[in-house]
Amino acid sequence: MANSKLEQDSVVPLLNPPSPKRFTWRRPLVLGLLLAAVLTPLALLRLAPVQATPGPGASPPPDAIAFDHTIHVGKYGMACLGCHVDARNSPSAGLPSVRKCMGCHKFVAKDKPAIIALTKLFEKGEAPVFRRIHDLPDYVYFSHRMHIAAQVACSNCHGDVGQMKRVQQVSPLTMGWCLDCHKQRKATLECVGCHK
Amino acid sequence: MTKPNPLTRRGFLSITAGTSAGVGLLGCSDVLPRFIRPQVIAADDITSGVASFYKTVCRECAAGCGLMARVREGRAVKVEGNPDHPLSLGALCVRGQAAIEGLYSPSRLHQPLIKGKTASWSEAQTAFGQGIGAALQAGKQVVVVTRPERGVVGDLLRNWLTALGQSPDQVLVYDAAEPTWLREAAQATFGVNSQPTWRVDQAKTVLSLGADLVEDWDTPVAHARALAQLRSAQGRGRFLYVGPRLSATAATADAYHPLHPGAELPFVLALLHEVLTQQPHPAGVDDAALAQLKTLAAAHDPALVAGRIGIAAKTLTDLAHELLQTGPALVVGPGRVAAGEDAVAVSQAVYLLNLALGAVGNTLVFHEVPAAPWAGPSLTQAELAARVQAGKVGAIVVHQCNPLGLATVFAPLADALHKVPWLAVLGHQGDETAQMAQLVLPDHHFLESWGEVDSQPGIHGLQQPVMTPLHDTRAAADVLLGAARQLTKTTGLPEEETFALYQRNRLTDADVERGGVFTVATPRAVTLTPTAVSGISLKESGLAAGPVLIATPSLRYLDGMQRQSPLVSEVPDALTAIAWSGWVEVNPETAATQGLVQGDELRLKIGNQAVNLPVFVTPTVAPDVLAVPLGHATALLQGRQHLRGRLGNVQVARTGQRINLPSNSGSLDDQGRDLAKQVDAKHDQLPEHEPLATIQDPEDKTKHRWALAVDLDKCNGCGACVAACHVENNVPIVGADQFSRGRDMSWIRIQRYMSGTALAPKAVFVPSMCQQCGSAPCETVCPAYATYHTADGLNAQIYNRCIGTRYCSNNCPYVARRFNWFQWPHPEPSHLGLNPDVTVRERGVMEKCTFCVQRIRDVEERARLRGEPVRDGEIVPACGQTCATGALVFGDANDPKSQVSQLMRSGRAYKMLEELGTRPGVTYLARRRKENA
Repeated sequence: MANSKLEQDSVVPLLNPPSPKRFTWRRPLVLGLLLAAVLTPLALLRLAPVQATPGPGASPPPDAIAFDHTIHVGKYGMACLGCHVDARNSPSAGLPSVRKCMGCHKFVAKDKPAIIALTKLFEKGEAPVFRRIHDLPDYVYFSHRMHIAAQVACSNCHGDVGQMKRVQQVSPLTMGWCLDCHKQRKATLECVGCHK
Repeated sequence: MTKPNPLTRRGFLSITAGTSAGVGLLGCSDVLPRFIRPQVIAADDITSGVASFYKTVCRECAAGCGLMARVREGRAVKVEGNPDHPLSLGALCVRGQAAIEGLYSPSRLHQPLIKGKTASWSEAQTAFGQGIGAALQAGKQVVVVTRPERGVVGDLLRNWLTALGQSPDQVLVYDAAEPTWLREAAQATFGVNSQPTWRVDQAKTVLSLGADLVEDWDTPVAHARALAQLRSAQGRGRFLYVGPRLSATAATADAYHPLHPGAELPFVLALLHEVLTQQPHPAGVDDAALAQLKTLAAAHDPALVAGRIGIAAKTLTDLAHELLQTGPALVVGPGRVAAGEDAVAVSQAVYLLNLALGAVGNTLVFHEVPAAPWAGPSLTQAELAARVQAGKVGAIVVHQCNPLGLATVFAPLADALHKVPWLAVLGHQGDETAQMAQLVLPDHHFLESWGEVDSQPGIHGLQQPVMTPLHDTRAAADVLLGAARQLTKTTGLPEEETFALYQRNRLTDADVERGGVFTVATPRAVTLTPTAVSGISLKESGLAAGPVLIATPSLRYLDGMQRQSPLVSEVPDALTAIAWSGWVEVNPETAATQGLVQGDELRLKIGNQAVNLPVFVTPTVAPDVLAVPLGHATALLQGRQHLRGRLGNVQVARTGQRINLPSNSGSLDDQGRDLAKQVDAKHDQLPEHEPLATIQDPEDKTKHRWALAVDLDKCNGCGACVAACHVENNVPIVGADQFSRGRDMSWIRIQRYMSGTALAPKAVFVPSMCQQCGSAPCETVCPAYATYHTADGLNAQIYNRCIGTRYCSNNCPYVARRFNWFQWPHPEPSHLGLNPDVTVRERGVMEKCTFCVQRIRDVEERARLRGEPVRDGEIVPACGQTCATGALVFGDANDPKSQVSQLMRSGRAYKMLEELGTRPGVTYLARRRKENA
């Protein structure tokens, strides 16, 4: 249902990715949440001053575009590094510039609502905004270029993006998960490899 | 109906588990989703996550060192020296390092102000054109008051005035820090109205007469390097210092001779006498000049003078001998602390002494007189005040300076600015002058705009924007050009649409790439004027009795009127280790006889002016001298119209207050622990000692062992490394109050250890940072495993693991660790200047020097992608990068060929507190002391 809605509206609010179901014990959860309601203010008092500044708020900005990897990657088989070019030589994978999008979309799929919206933005000299899905904490340093040099496939961490209408986080991106792979591949296990 | 469940043990545990999970979940959900936005058109030079570097010129002082801005995602995050710039050769001073802070300063002007109210640019630009137009219409003069602008903007100011039909000389160059006495003396001695160029790098023996070369002498960074090279084993030169105070420059000298303030002129003349006695026929001095010199020197036989000025005749003989023995020689001075009412006469005597030593035309040279607005000949303050008084001036445009910041000193100029009918300011701070102005047109910061700086003749540095402007500002040159177009008076002005285009068209890509155009300028020949000698008045009032007050310059505050940068204020003074506030230096003997202790507030009074400052007891000054920092003595300078350091006799009274000085130094010396070792330069070797017995495993030599060598013989305590570390590692600034409570956060502390006596002091500067111990006391006590030893020999500190027990800091014998007692603020827009490669630490977390681990990992990553090992010298931590003297050398201790391991094998090498068995990764090289020094 949600997907058919997506196809109709080119500019859609960015919804939260489904959060993995964590709890199966019903009763403890209900009781726990009751207690949490009491404890949360206390916890927040402790947590609030030490949090990283949040992004520009939870509400999605109006200039969002629903980019569909299933078309680009799934249907046309475009390579990840074709658009995310920085990944090979930078710690950051980066996003392709709007002009890069327009390089093809000047000719391709010009009649699609999303492309019309994108073209409008481009003509105004503006860029669409995307929700960050793979967001590591600020105290974690992750280097795309080293993982690509070590021939770790993009899908190892990002999953089969070509099958994702909307990109979802399929790996937990927790430290334990990182270290499992590092141990398997005999990569660095230094704390300062990632925290500095 | 079911019975309610009794609370079983299992049930209780489940509830507790659920609760903690619930709290945890809520904790996580507090991190709001973040949004990312791609570039519209990818810039060629921006790769997300990778820094770009742009070469430009520093405008924090008039020296104009070349710098290189490190830019991440379009925002400058760090500045470093431009290695291609002949003046700075890759180094920067503490002020230069703080440029980033000025760029993101929350106090910058965001938009134009008309009569104090915010306005749009179109309104402001129109108002500016109208203001200038009205003055012209009324037949009144338009005058520009500017900082020294040596280059394209300076030319534009002159051309703009010409286009308006004004005289191009209606420019007043406001440079409070300029040592004007040197220029006036050059005019009297050689008939040249310009500052000389002091080629310290060309000399073998340098004598400074109170000239603080590394603190405020035209180009401190270049001089610091030159002095370090001069004194190095290869240089085999000698640096001697004669002056009223042991300054940082004096502390690095091979010999320091205290000289009573006021004794400068007899001292120089006696030395001239001695030089002419030892070498009666100096080379390159013609007979007429020689006769002049001999006449002057005749009356100053050291045997007669020495007793009066408190310097032994033997010392004068030795100094003359040294200057003559190892040439080329150079006498520099008189510096600000040695400059009193007779400064011009002393300068003349110094020029003549240099002539007798064969230095003029060799190590002391003059160039062709450049036109204003170079520092130099320009409209004088008195003249401007007279013209304003007579109603001849209709408008004054103040460009990038703040003359009212020291209104009490420069009274005529202040008077002119107050009385002129129309005043506009082109600057970027809402300072005292801007508050007075009808119109304030905010200029870009120098890191956002085009310009040029001719640091010295032949050195033509290019200033280019390294990022798009942060605020709604406009280049001053474009404002001027806009007004000229509005008034249709554009003859001789650039035709390009913007000043940026005009300047870019003048330059080749290679110029931009290099950061300027660098040639070697030919000095002009100079000869003595007939009045060279007669100008030196020989009136000797004798030395004043009672305490004399001197105002000491510093690189941190320059003339004391610069933007009070929080970062520069946080870096402690070299000799006193005091940050933020002022003080008065008092000799321990005076303090003992007067019953003064550290922090006692004194009221210092000269004439009608007074200032209250707390006492700092130190042997840097003689018992009859008191010293205050220039930046804190401006209240005493009223009516003097110049910034000379010898203020004269002072009345001293106690106020009864005691002030807690914000200092990070516990004591003057090292309490007999021999932390700052010194060696005789002849042997250049510390006493041999047996290696410590140990039961620890030997270190693994097959991997990298990152190490740092600190040469105490080179360090002059300037503090550039401290500032660089702050900017590179997002180290917070705590302010005076927290600093005085010992909560300063700087990862490098420059310890100043005094030795010698209260009358013959010596000082050694010891930069202390985390020693990256091979067997670290901090690591074993951390219950959270937040600090641990890496395979390449670092003591890593993992901030997100730290729970703030502070055990590590208690167990660190080097006091290298800093605890975040607070969540330190980074007010907007200063957060944009944070280094994105380094975690911003939060409250409750311990932090310390990591040898810039982010730089180590970055170079390692690049080397791995290249498929080569890391080259020696490829990794440079921020402190070592900015060090002008090369005192900090970083590298791999396990590579026997690396520069650092060679230094570690030097005879001067030692580890601090080695007897504790900590096996530090930092090696110190002992300070050399030459015999008789």
